[in-house]
Amino acid sequence: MERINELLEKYFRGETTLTEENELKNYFRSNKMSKEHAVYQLMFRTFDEESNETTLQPVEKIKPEQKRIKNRWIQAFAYTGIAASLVLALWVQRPKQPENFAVLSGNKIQDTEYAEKYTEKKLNQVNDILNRSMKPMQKVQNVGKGLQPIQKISNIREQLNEIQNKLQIK
Amino acid sequence: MKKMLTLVAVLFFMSVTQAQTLQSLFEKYNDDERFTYVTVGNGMMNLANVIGRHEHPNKNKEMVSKMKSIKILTLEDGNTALMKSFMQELDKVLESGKFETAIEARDKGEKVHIYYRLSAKDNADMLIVTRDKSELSLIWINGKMSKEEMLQTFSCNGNSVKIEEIVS
Repeated sequence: MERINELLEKYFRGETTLTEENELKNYFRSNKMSKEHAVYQLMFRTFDEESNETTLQPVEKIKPEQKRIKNRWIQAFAYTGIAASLVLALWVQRPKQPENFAVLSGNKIQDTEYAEKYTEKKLNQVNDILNRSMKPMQKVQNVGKGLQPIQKISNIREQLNEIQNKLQIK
Repeated sequence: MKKMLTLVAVLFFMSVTQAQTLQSLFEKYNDDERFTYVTVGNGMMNLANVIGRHEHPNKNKEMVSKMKSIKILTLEDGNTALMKSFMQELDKVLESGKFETAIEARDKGEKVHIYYRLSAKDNADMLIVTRDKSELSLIWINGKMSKEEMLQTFSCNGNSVKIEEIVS
Protein backbone atom coordinates (compact mmCIF):
# COMPACT_ATOMS: atom_id res chain seq x y z
CA MET A 1 0.00 0.00 0.00
CA GLU A 2 2.77 2.36 0.95
CA ARG A 3 4.51 1.53 -2.28
CA ILE A 4 1.44 2.53 -4.30
CA ASN A 5 1.06 5.74 -2.30
CA GLU A 6 4.71 6.59 -2.99
CA LEU A 7 4.24 5.83 -6.68
CA LEU A 8 1.12 7.97 -6.85
CA GLU A 9 2.89 10.89 -5.20
CA LYS A 10 5.78 10.52 -7.65
CA TYR A 11 3.26 10.22 -10.54
CA PHE A 12 1.55 13.47 -9.69
CA ARG A 13 4.93 15.17 -9.34
CA GLY A 14 5.79 13.80 -12.78
CA GLU A 15 8.80 11.88 -11.52
CA THR A 16 7.76 8.29 -12.30
CA THR A 17 9.59 6.11 -14.78
CA LEU A 18 7.79 4.13 -17.48
CA THR A 19 8.15 0.92 -15.43
CA GLU A 20 6.65 2.60 -12.38
CA GLU A 21 3.79 3.98 -14.48
CA ASN A 22 3.11 0.51 -15.86
CA GLU A 23 3.16 -0.81 -12.31
CA LEU A 24 0.48 1.74 -11.40
CA LYS A 25 -1.61 0.90 -14.45
CA ASN A 26 -1.45 -2.80 -13.70
CA TYR A 27 -2.44 -2.10 -10.11
CA PHE A 28 -5.51 -0.15 -11.11
CA ARG A 29 -6.49 -2.75 -13.75
CA SER A 30 -6.48 -5.49 -11.09
CA ASN A 31 -9.31 -5.95 -8.62
CA LYS A 32 -6.93 -6.08 -5.70
CA MET A 33 -6.72 -2.38 -5.11
CA SER A 34 -7.64 -0.85 -1.82
CA LYS A 35 -10.70 1.34 -1.36
CA GLU A 36 -8.72 4.49 -0.70
CA HIS A 37 -7.29 4.24 -4.22
CA ALA A 38 -10.66 3.80 -5.91
CA VAL A 39 -10.74 7.56 -6.66
CA TYR A 40 -7.79 7.18 -9.01
CA GLN A 41 -9.08 4.07 -10.74
CA LEU A 42 -11.40 5.96 -13.07
CA MET A 43 -8.59 8.29 -14.12
CA PHE A 44 -6.21 5.44 -14.97
CA ARG A 45 -8.91 3.49 -16.81
CA THR A 46 -9.72 6.53 -18.91
CA PHE A 47 -6.03 6.87 -19.79
CA ASP A 48 -6.00 3.19 -20.74
CA GLU A 49 -9.08 3.47 -22.91
CA GLU A 50 -7.76 6.54 -24.67
CA SER A 51 -4.45 4.90 -25.43
CA ASN A 52 -6.27 1.96 -27.02
CA GLU A 53 -8.69 4.16 -28.93
CA THR A 54 -8.36 4.17 -32.75
CA THR A 55 -10.02 6.68 -35.13
CA LEU A 56 -12.85 5.39 -37.25
CA GLN A 57 -11.70 7.29 -40.34
CA PRO A 58 -7.99 7.86 -40.83
CA VAL A 59 -7.01 11.49 -41.43
CA GLU A 60 -6.72 12.02 -45.12
CA LYS A 61 -3.38 13.19 -46.28
CA ILE A 62 -3.16 15.97 -48.90
CA LYS A 63 -2.15 14.11 -51.95
CA PRO A 64 0.55 15.60 -54.22
CA GLU A 65 -2.00 15.76 -57.07
CA GLN A 66 -4.15 18.12 -55.05
CA LYS A 67 -1.09 20.27 -54.51
CA ARG A 68 -0.49 20.33 -58.24
CA ILE A 69 -4.05 21.46 -58.89
CA LYS A 70 -3.60 24.20 -56.32
CA ASN A 71 -0.35 25.29 -57.99
CA ARG A 72 -2.03 25.37 -61.39
CA TRP A 73 -4.68 27.71 -60.08
CA ILE A 74 -2.03 29.99 -58.61
CA GLN A 75 -0.11 29.93 -61.89
CA ALA A 76 -3.26 30.67 -63.89
CA PHE A 77 -4.02 33.65 -61.64
CA ALA A 78 -0.43 34.88 -61.92
CA TYR A 79 -0.39 34.62 -65.73
CA THR A 80 -3.77 36.33 -65.99
CA GLY A 81 -2.46 39.13 -63.81
CA ILE A 82 0.68 39.55 -65.91
CA ALA A 83 -1.34 39.53 -69.15
CA ALA A 84 -3.80 42.06 -67.75
CA SER A 85 -1.01 44.41 -66.66
CA LEU A 86 0.65 44.11 -70.09
CA VAL A 87 -2.61 44.96 -71.86
CA LEU A 88 -3.09 47.88 -69.49
CA ALA A 89 0.46 49.13 -70.08
CA LEU A 90 0.02 48.92 -73.85
CA TRP A 91 -3.32 50.65 -73.64
CA VAL A 92 -1.85 53.45 -71.57
CA GLN A 93 1.22 53.83 -73.78
CA ARG A 94 -0.52 53.38 -77.14
CA PRO A 95 0.80 55.80 -79.74
CA LYS A 96 -1.12 59.00 -79.47
CA GLN A 97 -2.62 60.61 -82.51
CA PRO A 98 -0.67 63.75 -83.31
CA GLU A 99 -2.77 66.68 -82.22
CA ASN A 100 -2.95 70.17 -83.61
CA PHE A 101 -1.38 72.79 -81.43
CA ALA A 102 1.14 75.61 -81.38
CA VAL A 103 3.82 76.60 -78.89
CA LEU A 104 4.37 80.36 -78.86
CA SER A 105 7.04 81.78 -76.58
CA GLY A 106 7.04 78.56 -74.61
CA ASN A 107 3.24 78.56 -74.10
CA LYS A 108 1.19 75.75 -75.56
CA ILE A 109 -1.91 76.92 -77.44
CA GLN A 110 -4.49 74.27 -78.26
CA ASP A 111 -5.92 76.05 -81.28
CA THR A 112 -6.45 73.86 -84.34
CA GLU A 113 -7.44 76.77 -86.56
CA TYR A 114 -4.34 78.75 -85.67
CA ALA A 115 -2.10 75.71 -86.25
CA GLU A 116 -3.68 75.08 -89.65
CA LYS A 117 -3.48 78.75 -90.69
CA TYR A 118 0.16 78.94 -89.62
CA THR A 119 0.99 75.78 -91.56
CA GLU A 120 -0.86 77.10 -94.60
CA LYS A 121 1.08 80.38 -94.43
CA LYS A 122 4.43 78.59 -94.18
CA LEU A 123 3.67 76.20 -97.02
CA ASN A 124 2.53 79.10 -99.19
CA GLN A 125 5.83 80.85 -98.48
CA VAL A 126 7.70 77.79 -99.69
CA ASN A 127 5.49 77.59 -102.79
CA ASP A 128 6.15 81.27 -103.57
CA ILE A 129 9.91 81.00 -103.25
CA LEU A 130 9.93 77.86 -105.37
CA ASN A 131 7.73 79.45 -108.02
CA ARG A 132 9.93 82.50 -108.23
CA SER A 133 13.23 80.65 -108.23
CA MET A 134 12.00 78.02 -110.68
CA LYS A 135 10.86 80.55 -113.29
CA PRO A 136 13.98 80.09 -115.42
CA MET A 137 13.26 76.36 -115.47
CA GLN A 138 9.74 77.14 -116.65
CA LYS A 139 11.24 79.11 -119.51
CA VAL A 140 13.42 76.14 -120.43
CA GLN A 141 10.33 73.95 -120.47
CA ASN A 142 8.57 76.53 -122.67
CA VAL A 143 11.51 76.48 -125.06
CA GLY A 144 11.23 72.71 -125.14
CA LYS A 145 7.56 73.00 -126.04
CA GLY A 146 8.42 75.57 -128.73
CA LEU A 147 10.94 73.21 -130.26
CA GLN A 148 8.42 70.39 -130.60
CA PRO A 149 7.51 71.33 -134.24
CA ILE A 150 11.20 71.04 -135.18
CA GLN A 151 11.23 67.55 -133.73
CA LYS A 152 8.23 66.76 -135.93
CA ILE A 153 10.18 67.94 -138.99
CA SER A 154 13.04 65.60 -138.15
CA ASN A 155 10.53 62.76 -137.77
CA ILE A 156 9.11 63.53 -141.23
CA ARG A 157 12.64 63.53 -142.64
CA GLU A 158 13.32 60.12 -141.13
CA GLN A 159 10.09 58.76 -142.60
CA LEU A 160 10.98 60.19 -146.04
CA ASN A 161 14.40 58.55 -145.83
CA GLU A 162 12.80 55.22 -145.02
CA ILE A 163 10.41 55.50 -147.98
CA GLN A 164 13.31 56.45 -150.25
CA ASN A 165 15.30 53.42 -149.10
CA LYS A 166 12.39 51.11 -149.78
CA LEU A 167 11.93 52.52 -153.26
CA GLN A 168 15.61 52.07 -154.04
CA ILE A 169 15.46 48.44 -152.96
CA LYS A 170 12.54 47.80 -155.30
CA MET B 1 25.54 36.79 -66.14
CA LYS B 2 28.70 38.76 -66.92
CA LYS B 3 27.87 38.63 -70.62
CA MET B 4 24.36 39.90 -69.94
CA LEU B 5 25.66 42.81 -67.90
CA THR B 6 28.19 43.70 -70.61
CA LEU B 7 25.45 43.58 -73.25
CA VAL B 8 23.18 45.82 -71.18
CA ALA B 9 26.05 48.25 -70.60
CA VAL B 10 26.87 48.34 -74.32
CA LEU B 11 23.23 48.93 -75.26
CA PHE B 12 22.95 51.68 -72.66
CA PHE B 13 26.14 53.31 -73.94
CA MET B 14 24.88 53.09 -77.52
CA SER B 15 21.56 54.67 -76.63
CA VAL B 16 23.28 57.51 -74.76
CA THR B 17 25.80 58.25 -77.49
CA GLN B 18 23.27 57.89 -80.32
CA ALA B 19 23.36 60.73 -82.80
CA GLN B 20 20.72 63.41 -82.56
CA THR B 21 17.67 62.65 -84.67
CA LEU B 22 15.23 65.00 -86.33
CA GLN B 23 12.70 64.06 -83.66
CA SER B 24 15.09 64.93 -80.85
CA LEU B 25 16.04 68.20 -82.56
CA PHE B 26 12.38 69.22 -82.70
CA GLU B 27 11.87 68.08 -79.10
CA LYS B 28 14.88 70.10 -77.99
CA TYR B 29 13.58 73.37 -79.38
CA ASN B 30 9.78 73.02 -79.40
CA ASP B 31 9.47 74.41 -75.87
CA ASP B 32 12.17 77.03 -76.39
CA GLU B 33 10.77 80.52 -75.98
CA ARG B 34 12.78 81.81 -78.93
CA PHE B 35 11.09 79.37 -81.31
CA THR B 36 7.55 78.97 -82.56
CA TYR B 37 6.41 75.40 -82.89
CA VAL B 38 3.30 74.25 -84.71
CA THR B 39 2.13 70.73 -85.32
CA VAL B 40 -0.77 69.50 -87.43
CA GLY B 41 -1.86 65.89 -87.36
CA ASN B 42 -5.61 65.81 -87.56
CA GLY B 43 -7.67 67.65 -90.11
CA MET B 44 -4.91 67.77 -92.67
CA MET B 45 -7.60 67.76 -95.35
CA ASN B 46 -8.10 71.47 -94.72
CA LEU B 47 -4.62 72.00 -96.13
CA ALA B 48 -5.32 70.08 -99.34
CA ASN B 49 -5.51 73.28 -101.39
CA VAL B 50 -2.02 74.31 -100.25
CA ILE B 51 -0.21 71.00 -100.14
CA GLY B 52 -1.25 69.25 -103.30
CA ARG B 53 -0.88 71.18 -106.52
CA HIS B 54 -2.52 68.66 -108.76
CA GLU B 55 -4.89 69.71 -111.50
CA HIS B 56 -7.45 67.31 -110.06
CA PRO B 57 -8.71 68.11 -106.53
CA ASN B 58 -9.28 64.41 -105.82
CA LYS B 59 -5.60 63.73 -106.39
CA ASN B 60 -4.78 66.46 -103.86
CA LYS B 61 -7.01 64.85 -101.26
CA GLU B 62 -5.48 61.45 -101.96
CA MET B 63 -2.00 62.89 -101.48
CA VAL B 64 -2.91 64.70 -98.28
CA SER B 65 -4.58 61.59 -96.87
CA LYS B 66 -1.20 59.86 -97.05
CA MET B 67 0.42 62.46 -94.82
CA LYS B 68 0.61 61.71 -91.12
CA SER B 69 1.90 64.94 -89.67
CA ILE B 70 3.39 68.34 -90.37
CA LYS B 71 5.66 69.94 -87.78
CA ILE B 72 6.99 73.45 -88.11
CA LEU B 73 9.75 75.00 -86.05
CA THR B 74 10.46 78.69 -86.65
CA LEU B 75 13.09 81.04 -85.29
CA GLU B 76 11.93 84.58 -85.97
CA ASP B 77 13.96 87.01 -83.94
CA GLY B 78 16.97 87.11 -86.24
CA ASN B 79 19.30 85.75 -83.58
CA THR B 80 22.19 84.98 -85.92
CA ALA B 81 24.30 83.17 -83.32
CA LEU B 82 21.44 80.85 -82.44
CA MET B 83 20.57 80.44 -86.12
CA LYS B 84 24.14 79.44 -86.84
CA SER B 85 24.38 76.89 -84.02
CA PHE B 86 20.96 75.52 -84.94
CA MET B 87 22.04 75.08 -88.57
CA GLN B 88 25.15 73.22 -87.40
CA GLU B 89 22.96 70.85 -85.40
CA LEU B 90 20.62 70.44 -88.35
CA ASP B 91 23.50 69.58 -90.68
CA LYS B 92 24.54 66.80 -88.32
CA VAL B 93 20.97 65.49 -88.19
CA LEU B 94 20.70 65.53 -91.98
CA GLU B 95 23.97 63.68 -92.30
CA SER B 96 23.23 61.03 -89.69
CA GLY B 97 19.61 60.71 -90.84
CA LYS B 98 20.73 59.96 -94.41
CA PHE B 99 18.61 62.68 -95.94
CA GLU B 100 19.03 63.38 -99.64
CA THR B 101 18.81 66.82 -101.13
CA ALA B 102 15.89 67.22 -103.50
CA ILE B 103 15.94 70.95 -104.20
CA GLU B 104 18.03 73.96 -103.36
CA ALA B 105 16.46 77.22 -104.46
CA ARG B 106 17.29 80.84 -103.77
CA ASP B 107 15.43 84.03 -104.54
CA LYS B 108 16.34 87.52 -103.29
CA GLY B 109 18.09 86.36 -100.14
CA GLU B 110 15.48 83.71 -99.40
CA LYS B 111 16.71 80.15 -99.51
CA VAL B 112 14.75 76.93 -99.66
CA HIS B 113 16.30 73.52 -99.20
CA ILE B 114 14.17 70.43 -99.54
CA TYR B 115 15.47 67.14 -98.21
CA TYR B 116 13.81 63.75 -98.16
CA ARG B 117 14.42 60.22 -97.04
CA LEU B 118 12.60 56.93 -97.16
CA SER B 119 12.83 55.39 -93.70
CA ALA B 120 10.75 52.28 -94.28
CA LYS B 121 8.54 50.89 -97.01
CA ASP B 122 6.88 53.98 -98.46
CA ASN B 123 7.38 55.86 -95.22
CA ALA B 124 8.91 59.14 -96.18
CA ASP B 125 10.16 62.21 -94.37
CA MET B 126 10.43 65.50 -96.18
CA LEU B 127 12.24 68.35 -94.53
CA ILE B 128 11.93 71.87 -95.91
CA VAL B 129 14.32 74.49 -94.60
CA THR B 130 13.51 78.10 -95.49
CA ARG B 131 15.90 80.79 -94.46
CA ASP B 132 16.36 84.52 -94.86
CA LYS B 133 18.19 87.16 -92.84
CA SER B 134 15.73 87.26 -89.98
CA GLU B 135 13.89 83.94 -90.08
CA LEU B 136 14.60 80.27 -90.16
CA SER B 137 11.88 77.67 -90.59
CA LEU B 138 11.93 73.91 -90.53
CA ILE B 139 8.92 72.13 -92.00
CA TRP B 140 8.88 68.41 -91.42
CA ILE B 141 6.30 66.42 -93.36
CA ASN B 142 5.93 62.75 -92.56
CA GLY B 143 3.78 60.37 -94.54
CA LYS B 144 3.35 57.02 -96.17
CA MET B 145 4.28 57.95 -99.71
CA SER B 146 6.88 57.43 -102.38
CA LYS B 147 9.61 59.88 -103.31
CA GLU B 148 7.64 61.05 -106.36
CA GLU B 149 4.47 61.59 -104.36
CA MET B 150 6.37 63.55 -101.76
CA LEU B 151 7.96 65.81 -104.34
CA GLN B 152 4.59 66.41 -105.98
CA THR B 153 3.67 68.27 -102.81
CA PHE B 154 5.36 71.36 -104.15
CA SER B 155 4.88 70.82 -107.83
CA CYS B 156 3.13 73.76 -109.33
CA ASN B 157 0.12 73.90 -111.58
CA GLY B 158 0.13 72.87 -115.20
CA ASN B 159 1.68 76.11 -116.43
CA SER B 160 4.60 75.96 -114.10
CA VAL B 161 7.44 73.59 -113.32
CA LYS B 162 7.09 69.99 -112.17
CA ILE B 163 9.74 69.47 -109.52
CA GLU B 164 9.60 65.70 -109.56
CA GLU B 165 10.49 65.74 -113.27
CA ILE B 166 13.51 67.96 -112.65
CA VAL B 167 14.76 65.89 -109.72
CA SER B 168 14.34 62.55 -111.44
